[in-house]
Amino acid sequence: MATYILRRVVSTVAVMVMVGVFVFLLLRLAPGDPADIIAGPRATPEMIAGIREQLGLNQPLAIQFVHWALGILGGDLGTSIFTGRPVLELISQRLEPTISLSLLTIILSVTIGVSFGVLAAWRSGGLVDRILTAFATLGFSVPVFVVGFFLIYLFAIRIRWLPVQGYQPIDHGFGPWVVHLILPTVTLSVPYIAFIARIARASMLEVLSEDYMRTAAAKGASAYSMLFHHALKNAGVPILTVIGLSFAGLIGGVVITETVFNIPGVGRLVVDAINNRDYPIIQGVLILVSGLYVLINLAVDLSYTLVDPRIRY
Amino acid sequence: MSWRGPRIFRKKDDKTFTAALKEPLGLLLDLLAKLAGPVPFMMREKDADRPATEQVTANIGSGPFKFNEALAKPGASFTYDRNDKYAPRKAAPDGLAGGKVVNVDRVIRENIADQQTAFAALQSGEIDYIESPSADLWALIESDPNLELQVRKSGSVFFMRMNCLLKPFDNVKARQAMLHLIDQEAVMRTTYPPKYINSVTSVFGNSTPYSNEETTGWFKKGGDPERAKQEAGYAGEKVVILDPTDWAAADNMAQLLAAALRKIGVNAELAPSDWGGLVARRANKGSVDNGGWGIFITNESDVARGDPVGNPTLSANGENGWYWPKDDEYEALRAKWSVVESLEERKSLARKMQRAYWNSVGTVLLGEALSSASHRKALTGLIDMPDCTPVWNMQKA
Repeated sequence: MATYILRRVVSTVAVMVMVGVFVFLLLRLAPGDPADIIAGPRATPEMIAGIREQLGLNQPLAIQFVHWALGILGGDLGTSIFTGRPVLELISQRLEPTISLSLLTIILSVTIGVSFGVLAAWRSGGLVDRILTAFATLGFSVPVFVVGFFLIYLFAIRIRWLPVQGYQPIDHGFGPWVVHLILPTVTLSVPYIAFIARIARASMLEVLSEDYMRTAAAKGASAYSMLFHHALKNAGVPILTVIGLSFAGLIGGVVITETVFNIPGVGRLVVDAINNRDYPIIQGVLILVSGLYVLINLAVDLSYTLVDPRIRY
Repeated sequence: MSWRGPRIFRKKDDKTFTAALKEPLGLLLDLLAKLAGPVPFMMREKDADRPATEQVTANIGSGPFKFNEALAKPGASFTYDRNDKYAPRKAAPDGLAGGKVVNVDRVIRENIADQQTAFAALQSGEIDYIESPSADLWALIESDPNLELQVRKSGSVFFMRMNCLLKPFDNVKARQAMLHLIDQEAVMRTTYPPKYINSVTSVFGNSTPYSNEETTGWFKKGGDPERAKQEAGYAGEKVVILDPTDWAAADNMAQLLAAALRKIGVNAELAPSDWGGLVARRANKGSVDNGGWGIFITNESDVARGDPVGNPTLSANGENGWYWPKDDEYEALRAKWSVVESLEERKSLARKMQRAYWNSVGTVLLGEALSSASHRKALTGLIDMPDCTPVWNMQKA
């Protein structure tokens, strides 16, 4: 297993190098120039050229890339073109809201999604199954921003239980933190609950039709024992895969939710950076996200051994 | 941009400075008191001397508010605390001048990217004020008894810039034809409610002292497509309209413009991109096949149109200027602007400049959208002035 983990970590580095090259070139080849945007709409070409020179954007691409890559190796993601602040500082300022939202979303999605899936499989073909399947279809089909605005209208404007927008750091108190995250978490969770529920249901249905489940029933095992001790563990691998994919997909999903609920997270940071062509921020966030993505995949692969002893690395 | 010229300012006493100039500059006070367009910022010398790309980190706090750096989240929010050491002058507030009495302890400026969220937050009382709510929210704001829509007396003027280096707009006839084609009301109604739009026919905008009616006979409500077609001298060239899809107003207008051009037989093609992409492409002086362009749409404050010297969009100095219209007669008149001292002389000069400008057509105006802000009625004492709302004098019940 240690060899496997080592091999995967090494491949993570290779993936990040490829992502780095790709992101760097993609940004430079895309239309738009931070110097144009800094100079403002009324700048003359000479002013823009001066700013390009000050920012080093007139240097050959290879030299710009080497500077950036050497910085990363030294733990420096560069400096934001617009704010003049270190990218690492800007990202760390925005990490807490994004991590909070992602973790709460994955906890809620897994808890409800797996429960719904198990319940629907247990009552397959019945009213509960049909209701949950309809919810899953709806949850998967309705865009996140529609759910978000609906919840804002209902809970923040009409009955005024929850705030419309904003974020409170957890060190300002658990209450304000969680209150500000309820609506965004529910909003972001809806498609993931639907996704996980559908996969969990399908996987559970397959396992429940196995001979050993019939044997367990014949031996008098309770419904709880059959579902949670026998079936769920055997249905676990595809469910874990989906949870891993969902967690990785959340990284993209938070952008819309952070915008709708005005949460100052990494998603908003990177969208603003794209609009401003603030290359160092975009590159820094994408490098971190790609590393995180690969590590989540590794964690999911390793977690298979916990639910299926036949899997060995 | 910093003023890096000779040191012309000298301190006389604690409240007075003098400016020593080599030649008369009738505009000096106007330049120092500008509201819009490139405006002068007074900085410490060592801060002003920094390169434009370097952040100024010093927070002196000599005004009514102090910047709270510890709470700053660039791109998300900035916090300003009342400066207890600031002594306001004993006078009524008057725009950016007069007494600046601060009645609140703290002002937080939140960057809420989604307008619908900002409106919901205003409705629920989480925020007190929205700067420039989008036009589609105005009716909702007006219908809410707790909110007030503050429509300013002036707004932003939309205009289209044509590439005077490429066919067909290198021909002044084609540019003049655009004056006849445009139906300002139709263009502005693509985005703004009719009661908040004005037509604008003066190069100097609607609200500046220099606004005038010289050579505005081309303006006709509803446009005059037939005349535009007859006078354009169009020979089938492709016209690329840069279309910023992340800016609803300019996007809507670009689409209407493309349709209007196609109706009179122009081979108009929209080039969609975000604003950043547009800004990069419009610098391209090459042919359409090499990434060049024909038209883009933008806007600026109506107030900024009163400053033909400081505002480069009002220049016509060819390839050295702002997107390359060239008119030597207009430029000769523009050169006199900073020398002329009295308001009446400048108004007279403005009429001559406008006559020249509408003959060569460096720009086609599309109309004015009045600017607005929205606030909860519990927030009072807002100072009504063009372009911005000062945060002193405000009171929150």
